[in-house]
Amino acid sequence: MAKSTLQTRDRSKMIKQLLRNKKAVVGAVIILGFALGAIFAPFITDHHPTHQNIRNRLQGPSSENYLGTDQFGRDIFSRILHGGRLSLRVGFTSVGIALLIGGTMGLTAGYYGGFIDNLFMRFVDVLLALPGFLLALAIVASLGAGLENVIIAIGIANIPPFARMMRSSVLTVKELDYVAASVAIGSSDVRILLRHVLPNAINPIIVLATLGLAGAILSAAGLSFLGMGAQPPTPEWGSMIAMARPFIRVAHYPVTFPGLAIFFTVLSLNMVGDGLRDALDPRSSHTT
Amino acid sequence: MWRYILRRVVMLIPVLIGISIFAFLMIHLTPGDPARLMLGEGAPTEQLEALRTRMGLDQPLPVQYVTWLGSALQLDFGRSLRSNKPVILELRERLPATIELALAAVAIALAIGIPVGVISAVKPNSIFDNVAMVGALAGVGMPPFWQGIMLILIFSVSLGWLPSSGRMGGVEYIILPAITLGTAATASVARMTRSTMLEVLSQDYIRTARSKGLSRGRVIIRHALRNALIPVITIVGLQFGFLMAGAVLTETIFAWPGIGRMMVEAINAKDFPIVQGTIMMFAVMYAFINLVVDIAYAFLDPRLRTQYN
Repeated sequence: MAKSTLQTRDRSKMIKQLLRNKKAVVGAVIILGFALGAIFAPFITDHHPTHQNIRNRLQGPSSENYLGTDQFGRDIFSRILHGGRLSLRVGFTSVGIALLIGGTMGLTAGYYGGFIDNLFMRFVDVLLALPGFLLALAIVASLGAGLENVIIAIGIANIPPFARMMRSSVLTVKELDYVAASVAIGSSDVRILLRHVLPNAINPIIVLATLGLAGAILSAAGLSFLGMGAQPPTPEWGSMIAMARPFIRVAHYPVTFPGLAIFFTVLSLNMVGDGLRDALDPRSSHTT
Repeated sequence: MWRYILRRVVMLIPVLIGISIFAFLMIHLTPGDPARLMLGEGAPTEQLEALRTRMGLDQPLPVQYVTWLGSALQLDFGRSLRSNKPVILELRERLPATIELALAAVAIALAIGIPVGVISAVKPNSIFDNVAMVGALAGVGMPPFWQGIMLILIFSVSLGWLPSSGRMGGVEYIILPAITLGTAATASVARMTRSTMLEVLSQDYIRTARSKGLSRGRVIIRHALRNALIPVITIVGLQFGFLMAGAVLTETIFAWPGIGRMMVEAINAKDFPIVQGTIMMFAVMYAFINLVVDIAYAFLDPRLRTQYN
């Protein structure tokens, strides 16, 4: 199996290149830390994220409450760990929706061309008529506030890049000889798409998905900050900031720490995404 | 050139129709009876009926859409449910504040982003370059709502140097909102300038210019930067769109009376005519900016210019 060894060699070369990229490694370590903290939150801290203790409100960091307490005396450290679960869930599911819908649209549009291509791409143009965050906000405004609707909205708003990227990958691959050969020996459309077209598009998709994850987490926090996402007392980073804001003159910890959590999560995902782009998709340069 | 512009304008029409369908359908996508949503649970039946008739909610959907679009084309988006003022008047009142804020943010992005990008490209992998590029990445990942609150905490609450909210006319009011809104754009401009400068600096004509005896500074400014800035213009244009989106959060934090904050207030109050009006306003502005950017791009790039002449 000459082909598979070639692929393995390619992959290990990529991983080596990725490990040499200091930014990507640092980013990966931070994001891994957040993910582990989110997964094992109940084992890391004894404090329940929604347990109130009014007499102990707005306290600074201490050995009991590592990051202090919020306006209801809830433990901020515990709320940030549990909030990480929500942020990661929102990020992964919304990017998953975008990837599934956008990817399928791009794949069919590029492969079949003609009417379907026109229809899908005009739909993508309409989605692009508003900047992503505004589109998500408008969708949530019509569906109603709530975390599920935020996931749907951000998922829809993220369709365009996946659809466009997938379509252009298909168009490039379609012209290659081995695809023509595959058509000639009578392979089905589905087989051609899955066996020949998709593997060629997988690297840019990984890059796009990583950067999309960062954007989705940032947007979700922004929507929750505006009161459109997770509702109190759910420990969500954006909503924690919004709820604690009126008390900022007394104690800034309940605002500062959730913000730092968002900031470092998004920054480290972007660092990993940048590194992945340099390693997996060298043709596209830094554009954003 | 004119043919190119005409084609771009014609391409906008289906997009704007699509967005108008979405804006129109918003009321109907919301679960529940729109009239009851707007008037609240305990509203008497006569009032509900009156509102339905006034807004044409008793007509079939396509008829409603055509009527709505017909008025919208004449800039009539109905009246605000709260203030009862025409939506277009409210928009006109609030729009200057948003444009002012976006322009200030773009100014910051260009004034800081371009020099940082150029220096980074001239000295790639230097300490300056590394610090600047990590900083730029941090700028992209900064949650604007949090950054705004932190700036207020430092410069208004602790130091007392700048006002924390409002738009009372003085320059001091716009500084913190403009920095908050401009951070991500500054970061993007710096990254884009760096990567295009790096590309341009490796071109043959740069070597030629250097070898015919021109100074390094002159080559960088006159030969390289001029060409490197063309893609940067695209980014600035796109950023202008993202700035309008970011305005929603920034204006909310700083109580800046623009259309972004107006949209959030209207969503919370279920004031749908205002929400529809702001969405259409944002979409038209965004389309117009993208159009101008594309035309400017075609005009500035000699290859595209000759292609269409």
